[in-house]
Amino acid sequence: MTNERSLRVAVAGCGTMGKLYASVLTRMDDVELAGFYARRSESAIDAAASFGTRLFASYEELLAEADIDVVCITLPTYLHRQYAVQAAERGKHVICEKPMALTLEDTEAMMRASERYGTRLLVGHVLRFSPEYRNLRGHVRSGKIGNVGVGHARRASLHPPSDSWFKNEELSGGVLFDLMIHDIDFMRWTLGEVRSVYASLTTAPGIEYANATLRFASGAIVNLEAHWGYPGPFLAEVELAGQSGVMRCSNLNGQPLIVRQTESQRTAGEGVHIPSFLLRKDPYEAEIEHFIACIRTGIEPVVSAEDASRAVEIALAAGRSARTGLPQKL
Amino acid sequence: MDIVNIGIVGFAHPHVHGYLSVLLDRGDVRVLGGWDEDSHRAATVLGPLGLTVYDTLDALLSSAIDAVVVCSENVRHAELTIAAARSGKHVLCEKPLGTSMKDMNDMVRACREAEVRLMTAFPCRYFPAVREAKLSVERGEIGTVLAIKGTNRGTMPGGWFVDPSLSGGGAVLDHTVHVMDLMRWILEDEPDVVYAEMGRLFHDDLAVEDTGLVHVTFRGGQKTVLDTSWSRGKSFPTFGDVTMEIIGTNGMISVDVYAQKNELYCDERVRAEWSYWGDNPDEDLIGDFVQAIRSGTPAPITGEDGLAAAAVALAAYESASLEVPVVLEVG
Repeated sequence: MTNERSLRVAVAGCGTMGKLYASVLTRMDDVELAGFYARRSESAIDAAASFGTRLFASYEELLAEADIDVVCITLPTYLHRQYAVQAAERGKHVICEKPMALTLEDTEAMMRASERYGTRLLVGHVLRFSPEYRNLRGHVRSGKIGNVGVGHARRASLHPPSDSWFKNEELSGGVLFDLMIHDIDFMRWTLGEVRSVYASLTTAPGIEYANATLRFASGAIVNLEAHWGYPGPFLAEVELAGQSGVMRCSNLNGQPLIVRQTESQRTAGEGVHIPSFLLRKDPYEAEIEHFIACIRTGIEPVVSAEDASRAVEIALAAGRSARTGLPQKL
Repeated sequence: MDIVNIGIVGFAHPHVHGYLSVLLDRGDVRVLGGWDEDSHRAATVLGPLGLTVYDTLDALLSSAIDAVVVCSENVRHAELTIAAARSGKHVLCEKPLGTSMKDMNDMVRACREAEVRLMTAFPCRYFPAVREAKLSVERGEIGTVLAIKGTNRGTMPGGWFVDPSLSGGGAVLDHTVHVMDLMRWILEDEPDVVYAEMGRLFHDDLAVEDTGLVHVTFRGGQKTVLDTSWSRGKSFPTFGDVTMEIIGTNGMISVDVYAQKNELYCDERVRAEWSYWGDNPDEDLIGDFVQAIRSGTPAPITGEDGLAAAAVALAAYESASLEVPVVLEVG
């Protein structure tokens, strides 16, 4: 492919993330949204209409379109492998929403297919494109707080709707794969390889709470919390304490604009929360632009498929630890 | 009203200053003086207050005191507490209660046999936020507690605290016990399984660990985790914290005992400072100790409480050395 024509990008899946990808793609200059593949539903038909794009009736039909260059996979996690491998087989690059998959067998199959067919496999670990996390990592990597001794990260949100696929651990991997994997990848990106994991998982109606302590090869000890059913506003917080300083980051700080209405418009209850940013380019936009640039120019991505697979490996180890009560070596 | 006469045994732990100032403010208490193995250390504190420095422990213990406050180095708590008990003196002992299970069992037994009160100094129970959190849990406001994440982060204290022959351990022993006591108190349950990661990650030349992450599963299945690290350096705006996030089936309680603070930016010091202005929990701790002595009722925080909290820290060392979870013996 050349710079002469726009890349044609299709989106498989038409849920919250599928629509978000589509809205980013339609804002980009050198990209054309080639359509959605989704099960035919009122919501999918409406989405295709509102984006002025096509709704493919089958994935096969989408893959048969020779001029589609890229498929974004925003389907439930358990489907990622099948859809990514099929796309690669048809010579299409893949941008896959995180988590990459639910087993190492799947992540490896995805990587093998991408290698065999010479297509890119780019996994959306969006924290690597979030300015507050990049700022935090930049200071830590440049030595501002010295070697990191102990860290914490917490990610807490509403519980997914009870009828959604997220709720089914077989399909989504549960809170470890939906929420904690963000911080797993961020910490590994920032602190290096993980040596062992000890974790617990607590569930109750409307609640799934995971707590994991990672021991890094560097010696650093990091405690991660991932919480569905948090009875407050979405929370994403990090603290890293090092030999010469402490750095903290919270989504509750850094709110340059607060609008207060006399009557609360806040919706309560269940839902999937996507944080909003007051930035020229939100992290999803930065991520997708970067992935498109990788496909266009062949540069190495900020997050490799191998990185995404390692995050899955750590989440799996956390799950095993929670089930057995024993620390898991990696 | 009878005056309760008190002696101070050991001035090693800096909390002695807080306890002394509260004791001296009370109209129903008289501090007769104190003793320390290092008489200079005792004189430095007692001299300016015009209080007696006793030459020997025996001299203090055979004076008119009713009770002692033990603020020695951790490893000496047992010997000093047992000596006080055998002289018929009630004991308020600084945390951790002891550095070995044998020592702590001996302390509890000696006080029981002598029929004196043994209270462990866990002032954190007296922070209003902690008391309210316990009441909220008791009222069922967050349903059944499922999990607690706590932190008791601090500043590396230096001195004898980092000499294992005097302290018995580093950050894990120093900072497991406060929040572990709060968790036991709030959950009304006992720790069962302990898993810990620890290390010397902040101060390369220490002889003890300065980092600890302690996981404790209680008998009722509640999952708790606690950061005990000395992770606050000279640039951090305060010395440390005590926090708990209590997750229940119907809600959550967040406790941050030092949240009542002002921000101070002062050109004399480069770092920003958080200046705490909330209640001083030492006042109620000392109040309850004095009340227990006067009324002859058991202290609200006992030696057994101190032992149970420290037992978790000792199990954490065992877990870290074996790299497996450790089941606590049923006491």
